[in-house]
Parts: sequence; structure tokens; C-alpha cells
Amino acid sequence: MKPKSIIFTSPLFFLCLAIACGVGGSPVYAQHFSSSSYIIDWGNFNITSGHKNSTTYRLTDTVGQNAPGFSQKIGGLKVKAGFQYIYDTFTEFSFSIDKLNINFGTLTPGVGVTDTNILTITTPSGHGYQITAQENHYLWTTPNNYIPDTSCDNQDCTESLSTEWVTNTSYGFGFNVNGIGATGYFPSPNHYRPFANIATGKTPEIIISENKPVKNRTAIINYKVLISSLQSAGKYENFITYTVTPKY
Amino acid sequence: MAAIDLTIKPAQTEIVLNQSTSSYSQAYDITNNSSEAIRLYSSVETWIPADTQGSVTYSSSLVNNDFSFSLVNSDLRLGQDFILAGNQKKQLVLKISVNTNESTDGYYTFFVNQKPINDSASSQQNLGRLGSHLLISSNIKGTPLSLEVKNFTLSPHLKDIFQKINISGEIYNPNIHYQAIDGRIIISKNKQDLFEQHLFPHTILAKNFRTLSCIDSNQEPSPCSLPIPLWPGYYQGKIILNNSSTPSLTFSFFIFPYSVVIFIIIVFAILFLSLRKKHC
Repeated sequence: MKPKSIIFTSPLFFLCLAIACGVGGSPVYAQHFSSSSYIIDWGNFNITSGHKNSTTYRLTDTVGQNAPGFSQKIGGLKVKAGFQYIYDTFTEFSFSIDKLNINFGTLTPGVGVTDTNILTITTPSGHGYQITAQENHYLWTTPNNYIPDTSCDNQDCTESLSTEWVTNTSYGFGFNVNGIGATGYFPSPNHYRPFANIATGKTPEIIISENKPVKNRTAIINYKVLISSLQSAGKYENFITYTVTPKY
Repeated sequence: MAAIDLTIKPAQTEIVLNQSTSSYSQAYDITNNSSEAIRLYSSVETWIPADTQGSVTYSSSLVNNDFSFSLVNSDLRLGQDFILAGNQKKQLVLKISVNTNESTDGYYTFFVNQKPINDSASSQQNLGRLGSHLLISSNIKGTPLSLEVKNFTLSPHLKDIFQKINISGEIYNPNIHYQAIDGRIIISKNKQDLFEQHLFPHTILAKNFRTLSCIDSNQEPSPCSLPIPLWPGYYQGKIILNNSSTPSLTFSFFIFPYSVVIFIIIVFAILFLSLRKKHC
């Protein structure tokens, strides 16, 4: 005879189990809907949620959630019960450029001229971002009359590698980026790169990136052009395109 | 005043299509946050991962014909210009069609591209493009293989009680479909669990790697590390992925109070030298 099997098959065991469930069990809250053809049992029924604003307050709320609110076990996971917390979780993916027109004015040979752009980016929760840059063609008046892209002081900078450009004898057009997400690409304010020239088959290169979500992160693009005395007069133009995507 | 200020929602969409699904529609809200009207057009481009941190690379040579795209909007096609007035929002609905019966993935970005407001705006020099990623799996068959931990390292080599220990490595997805990381790192001493850190649920593309990240107090990704100080002794750790009963990786390390020992040696050396001087 096996004593354990007596315990589990005994009517006394089931009686005890039934009493334990009936007396000691936690109450269960749920919504019950029924008609002649359907029965729906829901754990809870969120009636509404949303943003509420006044001149002095901002409120997000959830109505109908069982045990709404924020809770966290120390060192453990956070629980945000209620639809209102969706507004914390999914933020926007936004990008802005402060001005479209960069005008270097009248250039003087041997004198570097600069102008700036401010890029601002906000990413959703859980996602970093990357920004690539490209030019549609050289800074030109016609395809045969152009300012070359910079190759920096030692003719060693490329679309993906920045090096120092401080001398007045290395002519060309290039850029530097100053910002938290750009330090890996531009170690100092004197490090420059040429834009990836799509007309010559180049692929856009990353100029700024971060692995963490950001809110209103700014980066300053410093454009620089330096011409020789042999550069012919004219109105030189091109388009710079910034492509902004989240990190997947 | 910003010359271009755009928002796109959602920033990323992950879609799993079963065998009976031949198409799927995804809506995007495009908002012009500036007060000036802008000219835009939409496009879809294929990408490949550029690193293990979530960066991507686009190239015109990348072609994936397993999926095709079109706009459901009655007045717009992909590539067709439209004007978005200042402080206005427009919804674009992208239809994704599946062109294959094969079990496959496709990785794309839906772009809204800025154009000069008119073709004669020759002095404009800057344009912006804002993208939203689309990760698509179709015709998933069978049970996915477990994710694997690769290139795992603990640093520094000599582990002191007051020095932060960094846990780094990569997670490999051997499947032909993308998968999200679901895992945790558990550190134990004397067979008792001391710390548990959850891994950030990054998405890993098919047959690809992703750098190991933990969830920080803001629920965002950050490098994995152990809190200090750690008592001297022998520690064991394991990384558990996808709620598996067996750890994907186990490791162990020893904490020694190097800094305390060095400090005591220096103090004793100074005392010894000063006493020796006195006796001389």
C-alpha cells in the first residue's frame, strides 16, 4: 500500500482543496458580457484614455483599468498598468533642419569660408538613430566648372573618414559635425570630410549616430569652402540631402 | 523658424505574414511641424545591416522582389509629389504585397523625401529624408532555433571589488526570420542568485548578430555591467535566452580585493621605510 496515493484519492483531500480555494483564494475581477449568441469575459475593460491639457496642467489618464498605475519591485521590472502609459512608450520620430539655404557669399581665394546648419532629432523609445549625408553633385556652375570636394591637409580624408583640414592651401568643399552623436566620426572641430557625391557613384555615409533614444538632440553641421586663385567666377551650387532613420 | 521639421509615426513596424496573407496595409502619419509648406514624395528602399548596433546601409544595387509596395491613397502614388502645408498632418497608407510562397524576410524603409518647394528654387541647398523601418517575415514554418551567444567577454581581466565588471558579447540569430531577444543574465555566488538583469529586446535580423545590451532603469538599452562593490569570492553567471530551461552560456569569475591589498602593502611599506630611517 502506498500512503501518498491515499492522500490524493481521499475525498477528504478534495474537501480540503475546495475549502482552501473557496476561503483562501484571491477575488477575481472581470467584465462579463453575454447575449443569446455570444459570451465575452474580459479581464478588464478600458473605457477611455487620453491627453488632457489646461494652461497649468498636463494629464494623461486611463479609465476602466483594473489596478492602474506605476509600480516597480526594487531592482525589478516596471509595471505601467493602463493605456495612458503608451504615451510614454511610443514617442515620435522627428527631424528638423534650421535653414535650407546655405550662402557662402563672395569667396576670396585662399580664405576659408564657413556656414552652419543645426539638425535636431527626437527618436522613439528603444531606438537610436543614424543620419547619412550626400551631395547631388560637386559644388558647380556647370558640370565642367566645379569646386572639388576636399581631401583635407594630407589628401587623406574620405567620405567615411575625417582628417584635419586647417591649411589654406588645401582647396575644396567639405564639412564637420559638432555634437554628441558625431564625436566618433569627427574627433575635433578641425576634422573634415567631403560629402558622398551621388553623381560619381558614391554611397551616402553615416555622419551622426547614437544607439540610445534621444529627445531634441542637436548637431551642428559646419560647411567649409576654400578656393584657389584659379577658380573661375560664377554661382556655384549643389544640394545636400540628410537621410534620417531609426536604428532597427 | 525651422526650414524643415518633419515627424513620422510609427518609426518601425514588424510584420509577420502567414501563408494565407497576400497583402498587408500599414498607415503612416506624416506631420509638418513647421509653419512653412513643404513638397514631399514617398519611396521604399531595401537595406542591409551595417553593424551589430542597428545601423543600416542603403544601396541602389540592393533589390528584393519578394515583396512589392504601393500606396492605397486614392490621390497618390509612390514617388508622386505632394504638398504638406505648415502644421498639417497627412496619412499615407502603404500596401505590402507578398510575391513569393517561400519562407523569407524582407527589410525595407518607407521614406518621406523632401523636394524643393518649386523646381526653380535653385538656391536651396539642403533637403531632408525621414524613414520608418519595415521588417517583414512571410510564410513562417516550423519552430525557430534558439538564439546563440557569441564573442562573449568579461572585462577587466583582473576583477577588483571596486571595479565595475562589463559584460559584452553578441547574440546570433540562426533562423531565416528576424527575432527579438528575450533573455536575462543571472549572477550567483555560493549557489544563490545575486543579480538578474534583463536583456534589451532588440530585434536580430535573420542569420545576423546584435550587440548584447541590458535594460537600464529608464527601460532603455545600455551596456551590461555588474554593480559595485562585489564581495571577494567565486561567482558564476549564466545567460538564458527565450525562456530556455538550459542556459545559452555559463561563465565564472573570481573577485579579489586587489585595491585593498595594494593599499595595505603601500601603508606597510611606508611604515617600514619610516621605521627603518628612524633606526638608522
